[in-house]
Amino acid sequence: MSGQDEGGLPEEFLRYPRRGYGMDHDWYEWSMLHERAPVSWPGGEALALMLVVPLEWFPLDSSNKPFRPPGGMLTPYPDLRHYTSRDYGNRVGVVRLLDLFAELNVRATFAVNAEVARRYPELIDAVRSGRHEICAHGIDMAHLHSGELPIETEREWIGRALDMLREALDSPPRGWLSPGRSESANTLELLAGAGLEYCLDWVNDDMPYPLLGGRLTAMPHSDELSDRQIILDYRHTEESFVEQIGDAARCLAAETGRFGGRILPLSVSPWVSGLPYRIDYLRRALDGVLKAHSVWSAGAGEICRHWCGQSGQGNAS
Amino acid sequence: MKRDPGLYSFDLYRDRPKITWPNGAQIALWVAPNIEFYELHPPANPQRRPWPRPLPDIVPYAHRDYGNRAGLWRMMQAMDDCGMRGSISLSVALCDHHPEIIEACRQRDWEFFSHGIYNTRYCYGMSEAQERAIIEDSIETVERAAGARIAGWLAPALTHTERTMDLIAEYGVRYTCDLFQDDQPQPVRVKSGRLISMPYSLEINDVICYNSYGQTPRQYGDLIRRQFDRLHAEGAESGTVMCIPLHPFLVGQPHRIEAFHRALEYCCTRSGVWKATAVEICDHYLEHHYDDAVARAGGSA
Repeated sequence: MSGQDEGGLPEEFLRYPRRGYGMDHDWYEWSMLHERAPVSWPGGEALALMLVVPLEWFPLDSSNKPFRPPGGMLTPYPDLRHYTSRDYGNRVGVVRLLDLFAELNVRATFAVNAEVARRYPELIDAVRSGRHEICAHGIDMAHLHSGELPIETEREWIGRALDMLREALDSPPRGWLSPGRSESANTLELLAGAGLEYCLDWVNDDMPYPLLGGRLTAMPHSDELSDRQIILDYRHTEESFVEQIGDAARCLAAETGRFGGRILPLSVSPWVSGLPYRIDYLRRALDGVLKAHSVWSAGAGEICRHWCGQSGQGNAS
Repeated sequence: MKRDPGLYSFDLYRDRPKITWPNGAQIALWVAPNIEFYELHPPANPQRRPWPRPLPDIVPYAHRDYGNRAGLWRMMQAMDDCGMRGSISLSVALCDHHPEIIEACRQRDWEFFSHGIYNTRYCYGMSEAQERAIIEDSIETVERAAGARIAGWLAPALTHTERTMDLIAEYGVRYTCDLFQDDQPQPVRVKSGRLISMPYSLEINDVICYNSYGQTPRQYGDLIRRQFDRLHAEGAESGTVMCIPLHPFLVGQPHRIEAFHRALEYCCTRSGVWKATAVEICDHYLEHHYDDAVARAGGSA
């Protein structure tokens, strides 16, 4: 037949060293969502609404290596159009989000690049005065954690990001979202070692679960339920965005009778939903969820601690 | 390399011998959940990278893990509700990793066929001995875990060699889901054994509709209905096959399951529908129509 593959693939290709019960790594245990003990939210609500707002700074001279983070620079240097379009979110779009959250009386988790906190202290003040939760989001969108990053460099980056944020907040952040949600094989261990309680990188569950035997908690943070994913990547309309959030909430709320409280995560970027013609659709999406279901709107760390207390798992208390 | 795969004869979709399904059904409907395991650190195949970012590429890895942890159960509930059994395209290593899933599928009398060992192990560049090894592994693993011999094949991540069809047929596999040339089964030309192409679909496969075509959940539900309506109507002349290939990590998401559930319900509540598994369709075709099709093709598939 084909002569070129007579020798075949290297032998390791037919060896399966991690083929056995559970996962093929040691970060978390295999567990099926529908078999877990139910938890209940503080007021017996069906849904915990976990709004996550990344505040990102994309340096103009980003190399996009080893990968281009979502939202990263696209055209040859100097990519002023994308730099300023993202910065629009931090100046203008975020105010629309903050005003909307205040109007609807919802609490969000702002995942903040340390450089955003250093460069835009007024923005941090505005977020804090809205009583929102703030968690760490790395140094900036050009400091990408990945398998190519030496462990000592990564340890220094995490320490630096937390130090910078601590300075801006007067208190240490409890949670972490990696820029571009990218991790190295060491990231989780380093985050736990730095005293963080929860991580927002993982998209494999609808409920929290313990990482590293409970030294860190994975909070469910769908990458599908996101304005950037639905509107920009899939190019669905704003009407469809509203419909999909409503469908997700209805599905999750319908499961609560049998399975206990559920979490509706929603990730919204100020440079996406904060546009003048989009902000009202975010209002419609949130308003629809709040009117149709009993909802506990809380920060990711609050939900995490409550879940840890209820489930007897995890590190936060 | 060949210019034509040489796997089947050309046969225009007109004036073919009539295909009949049990109880006079017009359309044989089957659902193919891809229940897969993707590895975090797979060895690199020279012709295809498993993940776009440097390893560990946790987002796409975790996205697929979502299917096994959360999405699968929702998909199963929707199928149970419609009385629809699944014919599972299985990464057979999942028998070792997640036996609870195999058990849940067995309880429902679902069928298992092989989708390779892992969906991060591609066949490009395999020697014949290596390709035999994954076929033998598939047969033995599913037999041990599910107590049944696989009858079908969908190459892992749709990666093939020139010898794939001959080899699976030699091992007694009776249908392949790897060929997309028709809406009816057709004999596949192999050196030994009897192999047919089973209509699967990339066009109404959730992974293509959601990730390649960027459809909304409701658009996806609508196209399943339209696909069904057309094939159901054409099936009045000669039986057709409709497959709905699924991935629990996509269709089982909270914002998508309802649209799928309603579309499946639509298909399952029409008259003239044979709600089948792939092996049931395959064996009916082999018994009643295979020989005619071979004769029509001039004596060989």
